[in-house]
Amino acid sequence: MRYRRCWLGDESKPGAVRGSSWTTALACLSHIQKEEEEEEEATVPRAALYEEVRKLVDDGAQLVEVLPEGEYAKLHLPGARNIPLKRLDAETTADLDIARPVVVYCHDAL
Amino acid sequence: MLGFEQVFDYLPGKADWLARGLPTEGDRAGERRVGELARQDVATCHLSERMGDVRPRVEASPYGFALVVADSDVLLGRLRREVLDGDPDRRAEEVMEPGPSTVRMDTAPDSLAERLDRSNLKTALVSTPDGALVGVVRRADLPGADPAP
Repeated sequence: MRYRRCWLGDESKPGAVRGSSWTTALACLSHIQKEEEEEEEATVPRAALYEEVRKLVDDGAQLVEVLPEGEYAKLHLPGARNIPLKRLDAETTADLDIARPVVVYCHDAL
Repeated sequence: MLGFEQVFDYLPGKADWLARGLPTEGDRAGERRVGELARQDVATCHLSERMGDVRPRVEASPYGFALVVADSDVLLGRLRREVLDGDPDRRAEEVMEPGPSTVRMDTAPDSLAERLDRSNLKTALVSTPDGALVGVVRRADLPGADPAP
């Protein structure tokens, strides 16, 4: 089984994910393609609460804030990088280490 | 090209982190928040405690009320002066005012000052998103307070 990045927004690209919702964007990051079966499957990111997030971050997880730049500039979690939701794609996530967990966050649950 | 295998959604988001008074980065990271102004000098008690036992602790505190907390420091209720001065054998669980209003640690001091002034209140209770008591903020410690006589 091989894994590869997916693309949000540009449906002409391989592994494109249709839609632009928050959930779809998160699914984009964890999109899995079973190439040998030519069957695509997107796993839904696992919801995490504070205690788990704290442990993930302490263990080296990468934090990604998907709010607009202005919101990020005012306040963000320590060490978080900013990838606004509308720009979340293979290119903007290229700097992330795929071997380490990624914790994505918005402003709140709503 | 490889994809991400472990992606987590911090569901309560940035609001939850800020409400816990945790460290942040950014242009406004240095701004003061009410969490820093919260005092831990309020009298607390457990559900089963008698008013006669709680009253001396309240009298030794700067406030006219006590707060009822669970073992985990989760705020359960408030005991006002009337019940503290009443039957000394009544227990906190019988006479407390359950679920008092609280504010979060990341509330801006000037915003809280306005809210207190609108409601003619002298104090606000601060709690974490999990409901744990952080402390009490006094109006006198917030911006725009009358200078001490």
